[in-house]
Amino acid sequence: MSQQTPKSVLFRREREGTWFELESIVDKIEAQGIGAASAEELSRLPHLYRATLSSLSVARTISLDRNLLAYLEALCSRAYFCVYTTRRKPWQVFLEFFTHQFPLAIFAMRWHLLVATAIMSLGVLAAMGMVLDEPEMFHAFVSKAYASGRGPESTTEELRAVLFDGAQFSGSELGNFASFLMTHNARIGLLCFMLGIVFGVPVIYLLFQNGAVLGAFSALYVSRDLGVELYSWLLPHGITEILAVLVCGAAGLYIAESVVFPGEHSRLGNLARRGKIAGAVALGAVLMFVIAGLIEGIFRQTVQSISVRYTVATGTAIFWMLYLGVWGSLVGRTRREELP
Amino acid sequence: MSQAPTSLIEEPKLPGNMRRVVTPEGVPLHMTLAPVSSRAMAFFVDMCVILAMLVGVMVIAALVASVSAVEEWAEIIATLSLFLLRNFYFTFFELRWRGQTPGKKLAKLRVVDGRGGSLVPSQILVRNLTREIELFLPIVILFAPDQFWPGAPFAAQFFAASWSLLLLVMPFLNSDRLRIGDLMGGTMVMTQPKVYLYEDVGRANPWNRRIKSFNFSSAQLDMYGVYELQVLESFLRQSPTIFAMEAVAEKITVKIGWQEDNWRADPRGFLQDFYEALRNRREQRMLFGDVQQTKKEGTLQSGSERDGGSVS
Repeated sequence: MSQQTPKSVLFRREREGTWFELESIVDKIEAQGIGAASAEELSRLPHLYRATLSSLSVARTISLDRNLLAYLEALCSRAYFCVYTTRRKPWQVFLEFFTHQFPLAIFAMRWHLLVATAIMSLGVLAAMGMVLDEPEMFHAFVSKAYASGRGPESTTEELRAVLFDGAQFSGSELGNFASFLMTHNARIGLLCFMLGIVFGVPVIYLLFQNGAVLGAFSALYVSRDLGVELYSWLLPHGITEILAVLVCGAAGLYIAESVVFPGEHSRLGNLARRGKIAGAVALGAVLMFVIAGLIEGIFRQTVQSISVRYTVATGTAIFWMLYLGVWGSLVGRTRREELP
Repeated sequence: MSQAPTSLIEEPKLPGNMRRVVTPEGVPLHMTLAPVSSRAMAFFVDMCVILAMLVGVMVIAALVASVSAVEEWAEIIATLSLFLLRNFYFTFFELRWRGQTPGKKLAKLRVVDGRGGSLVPSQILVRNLTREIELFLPIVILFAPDQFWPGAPFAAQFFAASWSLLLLVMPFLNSDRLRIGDLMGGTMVMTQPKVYLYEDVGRANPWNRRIKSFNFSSAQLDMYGVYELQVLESFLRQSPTIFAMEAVAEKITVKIGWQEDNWRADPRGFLQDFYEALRNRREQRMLFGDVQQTKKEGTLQSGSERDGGSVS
């Protein structure tokens, strides 16, 4: 039997130049990043990738050379990650996140945000009513450590002192305090979001409990006629912080809903679809906690004037309303198709 | 994620650790799932890098504190960098290096989108934010339960501990080796080895060898299938010793009923000729839809040189 050159050998001879060219570009990008490739190489990359991918298709049907098949398979998947990748720089990703992804994600879970707010308000009202009725109930809602000595037994003067104790802080301690708060609060918020995967029960509990603490303190201070002072102390950072907790809670509920009521898709499929949206919200919430921590740690301890405190509180409320409410629904209605 | 083939032509069944990722061009790529051991190694390496970075930051912070009047700066810098590293180290690198971190790069792993699309930033974000409940939280619950939930009853602690253990061993519980973070981000972790293209074993190189060439009948070639062909390919690529080649050639001659002794003078030439002829035969038959995966039983009877000779 006379032997002619096999088709697969001819095929390799004809195409391998393309493969080697692709390989050299991919090597370069993998070692030094996408910026290392020249403009010409970048414009050649998709063509080379598609040609090599079609070589792989052909090779699978005509060649039995295992090394060749493994080589093409590996090269194609490496090139695939160079071609289908975000070319944007980290700061562009960041900017895009604030202008679009975060408001859009909030829009996607607006109803969950409403439910989260309702649960927390329920906590506030329940605790407030009970503590006003019977001051001793305060301890049922606020743990000893958190209350740090405050309670129905405290005198009005002691309670007032906590709200205006900023004078004793020196500059450096404020910075330290702020960084402690932002890391601490951010972790609580993230926990709230991540517990969504546990079918949302811990999220509901956390939201209610947070509301109850708020309500118990409100009742305590209101009963001593310190309501205005308390809110001037609480709201400048509290609006941002409570909103961040609510947003995390909404993200947790959003995920929980997809797992508990999967609808037409599979639970795991839902988790993948909604996890991305919820993740964007969680990151946004972390940044809200950072802002709240800065206000709490630095601003609150240095500014004692009640009117300035209320002005700042109103300012943050207006900002979040415009950003998440107005801009969010605007983005949400124009880019709805990006939501699952 | 592997999907059931929708066409009438059956896709070959992949081994358990391989996944088919269909590119937007419609060509399926076969990737190997990262074994849990390499992922653990990559994670360990990343943890070491984080630790090294923290130590570096501490040293800088100590220097800053020693020259500035405000000593608390050291603590502020330390707290903030711990927060940033803990929550954003993985995210930062996976964003910059298209799904790789220093540890993953070392272990030749890559995070990919489970459905064959391109990996988007929010996926990376989600799969790394969940590390907190998957890893850090279970560690706290298991080793310092009072810190997580002060004064919890034993039953609650036990429940929390078993729940967190479940999260920790999640990758062992599903076939795609997914963490919770992978589930939520819709990602998978694959190995990405680098493969080199070697000279074709079957490429005709007449100047290289050939005192005489060996010709085989179709019946002789049909004794072997694709599997043996590729084993022979791997064997020839490792530049085997002459004795090893003699041993292999002898086995083949017995199997295909090769009568003459002429192969003993040039076992390499014999094996290369046989490889070429066998590959040519199998590839031609493959074009007609006839893929013979493995060898036939028994040996070819001597003297049956006709095509389709009898098989004993």
